[in-house]
Amino acid sequence: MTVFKSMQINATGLNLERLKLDTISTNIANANTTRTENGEAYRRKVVVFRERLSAETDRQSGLASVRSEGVSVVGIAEDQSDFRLEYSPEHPDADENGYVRLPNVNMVDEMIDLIRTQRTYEANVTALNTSKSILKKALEISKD
Amino acid sequence: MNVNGIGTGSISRIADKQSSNTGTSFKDIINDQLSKLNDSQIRADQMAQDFISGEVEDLHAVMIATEEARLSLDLALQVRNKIVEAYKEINNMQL
Amino acid sequence: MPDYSYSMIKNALDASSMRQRAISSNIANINTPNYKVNKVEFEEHLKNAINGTSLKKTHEKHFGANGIGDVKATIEKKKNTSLDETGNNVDIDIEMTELAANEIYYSTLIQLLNAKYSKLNAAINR
Repeated sequence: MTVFKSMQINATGLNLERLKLDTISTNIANANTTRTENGEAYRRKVVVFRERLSAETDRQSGLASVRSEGVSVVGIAEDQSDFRLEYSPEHPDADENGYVRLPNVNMVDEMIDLIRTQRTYEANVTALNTSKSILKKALEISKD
Repeated sequence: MNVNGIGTGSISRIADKQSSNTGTSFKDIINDQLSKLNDSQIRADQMAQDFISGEVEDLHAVMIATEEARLSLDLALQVRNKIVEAYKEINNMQL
Repeated sequence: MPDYSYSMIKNALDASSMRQRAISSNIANINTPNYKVNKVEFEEHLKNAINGTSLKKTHEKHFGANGIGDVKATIEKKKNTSLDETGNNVDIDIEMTELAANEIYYSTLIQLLNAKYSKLNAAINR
């Protein structure tokens, strides 16, 4: 129902941040995974997203317009930057030179992303609550 | 607070506004106002319908349309009451 | 003297709703690469109408006696503010401030509207 459009918009934001959170958690949990199903070390995952636009035709004027309505998730991609190399000849996954390929996950970066995700999540919650207040206010029109 | 009473005063104001396009006939004035009243009721119903079917974007628009319809109806009822009162008063005059 | 204030209040409420959606989208897109902030223009249009100057010539509307009551809000993307490294120009602090301000704006308008309705009610049912 489009009366709740504002809230739905922030819902897309909440959705995105939650997905990001899951992705960050997975990255952190796999920070040292040297072997995955494809034989390689774990590759850092990132969420790809973009602005959600909707094409609408105004009923009265017949004008078409594009409206900004939150975010939409495109998918989850793998960070293609290089693996870290560590010299560790006894490691079962060491190559012929004794180097192990470790995931391209940087703990500090993940922590920063985590904090940013949390802040953004909270901002979206605040916006959603404000939208709710506004709707309640509208119901008070001439409430005698 | 500036409060205007409803009485013949408002009807003459309506007459002033309308005389340019509908003529000064009282019947025309009443008909015009009645159709406006009807429009406001229809608009309110339409708004309610749009809201329920999910077409409305602004909740306040629905509340406003409803309130405008209610006030129009109230006004029309009061005007009718005054007219009926006046009629009765004239009827009771000793001739 | 014609009473624009009732139509102005209605248009301002529409503007505030539009603004709420714009701000919501800005907040959802805080981290979206290349995202540009949504901005709703209403007060500027009103000022122009009151001063008798109209920016958009495409409108053909002459802001005469009733013009001020007909001014509506428009929404556009703000492109001239500073960008971060991903091309995004959302400033979360500005958006949160706008969010709070808009809520108060809306509440105030509702109160003004109710005051008008009270007066009408009293006048009709005296």
